[in-house]
Amino acid sequence: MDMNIKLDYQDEKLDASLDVKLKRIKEITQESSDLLINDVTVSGIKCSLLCCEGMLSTSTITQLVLVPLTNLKITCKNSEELLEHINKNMLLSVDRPLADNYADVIRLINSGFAVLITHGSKQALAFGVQGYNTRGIDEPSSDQNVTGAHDGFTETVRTNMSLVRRRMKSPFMKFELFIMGKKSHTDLCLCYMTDRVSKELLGRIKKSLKQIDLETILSSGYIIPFLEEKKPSIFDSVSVTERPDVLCSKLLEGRVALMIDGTPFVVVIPGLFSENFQTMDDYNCKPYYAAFIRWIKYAAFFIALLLPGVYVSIAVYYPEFLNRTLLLLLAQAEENAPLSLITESFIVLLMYEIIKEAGVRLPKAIGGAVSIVAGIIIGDAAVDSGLISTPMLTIIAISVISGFVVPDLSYQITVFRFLFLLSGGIFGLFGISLLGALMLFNVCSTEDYDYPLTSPISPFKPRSMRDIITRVGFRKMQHGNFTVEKIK
Amino acid sequence: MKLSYGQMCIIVLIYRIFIIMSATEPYCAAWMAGSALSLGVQFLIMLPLLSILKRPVEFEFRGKKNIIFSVFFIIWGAVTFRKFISVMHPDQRSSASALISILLLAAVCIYCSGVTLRAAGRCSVIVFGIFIFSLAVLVLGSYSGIKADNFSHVSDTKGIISYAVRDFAQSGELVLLFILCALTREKAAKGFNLYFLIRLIITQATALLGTLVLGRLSYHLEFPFFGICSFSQPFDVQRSDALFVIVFSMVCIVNLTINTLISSEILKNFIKKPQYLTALLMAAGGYILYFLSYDTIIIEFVLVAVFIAASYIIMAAGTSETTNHPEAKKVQE
Amino acid sequence: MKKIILMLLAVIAMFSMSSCSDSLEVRDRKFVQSAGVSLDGKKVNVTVRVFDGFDETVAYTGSGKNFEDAIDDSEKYQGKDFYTGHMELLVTDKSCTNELLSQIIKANVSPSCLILDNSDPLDYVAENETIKIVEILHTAVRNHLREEKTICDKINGR
Repeated sequence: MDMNIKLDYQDEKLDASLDVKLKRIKEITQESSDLLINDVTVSGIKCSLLCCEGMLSTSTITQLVLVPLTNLKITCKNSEELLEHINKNMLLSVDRPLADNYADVIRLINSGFAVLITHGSKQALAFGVQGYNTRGIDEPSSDQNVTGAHDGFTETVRTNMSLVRRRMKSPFMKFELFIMGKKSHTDLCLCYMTDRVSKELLGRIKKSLKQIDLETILSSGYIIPFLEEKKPSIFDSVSVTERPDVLCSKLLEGRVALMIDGTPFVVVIPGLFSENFQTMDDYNCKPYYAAFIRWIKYAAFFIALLLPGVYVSIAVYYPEFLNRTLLLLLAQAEENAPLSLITESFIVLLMYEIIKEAGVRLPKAIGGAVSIVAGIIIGDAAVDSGLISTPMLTIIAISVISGFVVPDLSYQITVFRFLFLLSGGIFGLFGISLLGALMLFNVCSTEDYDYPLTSPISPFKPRSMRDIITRVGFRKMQHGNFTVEKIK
Repeated sequence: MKLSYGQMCIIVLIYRIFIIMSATEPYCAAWMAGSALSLGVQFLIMLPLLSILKRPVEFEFRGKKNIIFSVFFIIWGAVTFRKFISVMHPDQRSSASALISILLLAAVCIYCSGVTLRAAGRCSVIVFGIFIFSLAVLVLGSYSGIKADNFSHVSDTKGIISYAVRDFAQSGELVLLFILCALTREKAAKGFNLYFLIRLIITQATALLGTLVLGRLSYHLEFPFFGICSFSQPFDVQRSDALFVIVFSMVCIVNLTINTLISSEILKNFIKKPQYLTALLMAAGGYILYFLSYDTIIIEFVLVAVFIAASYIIMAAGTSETTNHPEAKKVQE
Repeated sequence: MKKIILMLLAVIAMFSMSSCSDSLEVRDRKFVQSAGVSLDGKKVNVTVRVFDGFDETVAYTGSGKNFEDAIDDSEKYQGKDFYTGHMELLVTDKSCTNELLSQIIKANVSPSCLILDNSDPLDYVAENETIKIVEILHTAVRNHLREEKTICDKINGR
């Protein structure tokens, strides 16, 4: 399934003459320095073996292709017979696609194949001898856990396919490879369980993908906007994961995954809001603990989002909400503060975001020093000098740490925390409820491929709530056969 | 099914919850009896709707006669705005703050009314859940303030009919019930019965709690519901009535959004971008009503009675065409 | 594009409106801990004690045609607004009517505020450290030596 790739030479078929073919390939590749051309005579027929430097394994190509080809001594009437013999009788590699046009030949060379072209044949035979350097399977950087697996996806789509296949040996587990990106020709792979996925969902996803007309696809962020509704939404209606175990569990629920070559983040469609609070660790511990941690996460989300705004609005507009000791502590702390509460909290929050961004971008060697300077020196000095009060710093710190508990929602928490702070500081709890209502309506109206983001909370599906309110035990879960169709 | 019966029931309940929270009547035995009586009468008045719905007719948003519903929702929206502003700014001196609040509310309603009715239904379910949770917190928090003899101070049953009339005058959600039942169709009866049952439970439970906690104090409070909230102290905070402002605001926003959504959908055929006009008319009407010092209960009673009658006539006449317009389908979904 | 500009304008407007609201910062307020109230014909006299640190209060007096006006009068000479939402004790005498209590509740005083009867509430509040009195009252209620009496109880005739 090739998607929308229009190349100048796409329909140009291979010539029979070897010299013409080589000349044309050099023209198309602009005589790029990484194109290696090895001329060889095989059984009296002039051939050339083309490959891309750095994309293949030298030892593999030598053992599997070069030695057998150079030792081949058969009598062939023509090049077609030679290619037929090599392809069908020699099995030099497991993956041996045939190409009859320049576009496919270039794509195969740039994908790490060794391509054999012969004089007199209008076909080329490629050998899958890829051996480019890839990052090894490592612990995922984003989806950390304690008791689950520690392997994560890599940038190579085929490696990722193998990680899923190792866990899902069912014949219903299907992978559909295709290419996208007019210039990048990126490999993508749709994965789904044929006995679980809805045909309608699959069809609609493929239709959405067909509408993509990008030149290059370098990460999942390029594709996600095309998979979501055009209407702007605050939360993502597709989810992204770096973990094969998480992906397998979602595929079992009838979802569709999209792997992209070049990024370890796999896109899963559809996504639900409640999944942002679920981790693999929940399924490796006792249900009561998993339920406890889930509720901590729900509370942490609201604390991260609302605490600064609610604190400022209560302190300014509704001080009767606080008890006497708390109120007097606050009054004492703010007595000599030069700035208003809303300005103070805004500055502290902004400083935190700057420090966080600096910490992410800095090299690891300097990162530690930044933490010391920012956290201890600046924070301590600001409080001692009276610029910022201790209760305010504590509130912001609690809010920020709570935000780390739900990393999948960190972008939304970051932005909306500021907005809630502003609306709470200016309009009080009324402002917070206005913004909360706006957010709620946006979330409730987000519905991709007819799967509401807020499901199974609303529309309320009691059976599906067993993995939301608590984490039901596996003895009960094994009879569930939950799929996303049930929450539609 | 375009709207589930649960969502239909909850949307209508949200209207009632707003009335409960913004009520100015003191909690007493007469009020409890009057509201129960009124509920019984309303149930009987609305029962024929179920038999009308058994006929194979569909509600068509774009019909000219439905402009009557649009007019009602605009007027009712203005009344809702007035009630909201009266709670948030009981002191009529703060007219500038009231104006800002009204404009902000109208702006939010315009944005929120861009969603489908199904999405608004989902939102209503979540807001209803928040209300039930806060009601539970309210009951637990004010438990220590319950004094059984408070009931005896307000057990006089004089004025039951007056309270029943007031309750009926505030039951504008009955007109909404016509439209939502027509959109729900198959299980409308279930939603209908569930609405009246839950409404009875919530109203009487709130009134009983208020009576036991406040007693005669509710005669001195402008909004007795928030009086109960000031007694609710779940975590040794001084008073937690401030938090109920959040719940009240969200209930009001859902209320007004549904008004704007339905009335603008009806007016779409006649006006470009009707949600702006609808919301601004409601806001302007609410602001004007805010400064009226006399009781408008009789006008509201007549309004509700007239529009219920008009709704019956429209529904009974029915429409012969099914709704195939893609825009109408989008709202119904 | 229009929507983005409108949103940016809205955020800028919110920033610039941050000082426009009629709210008061915590440091611009003093919190009333207790009040003694007495009716003198149609005039309401008050003596309030406001927090001055954790364990101390300072007394101020004032009068007006209603409770709110009397509070406004008492705060005149010390530069900060008095906030009555946190009041813990109300001392009244026989002149206290339900109408006066209604005014007090409308002034944002909690109906669960403790109420104490005294023949001279103004002097009582002026001369006594009422933080200690509130603690004594709470202890007495806890040990069942005394019934808790709040504004709500007074209105209900207890």
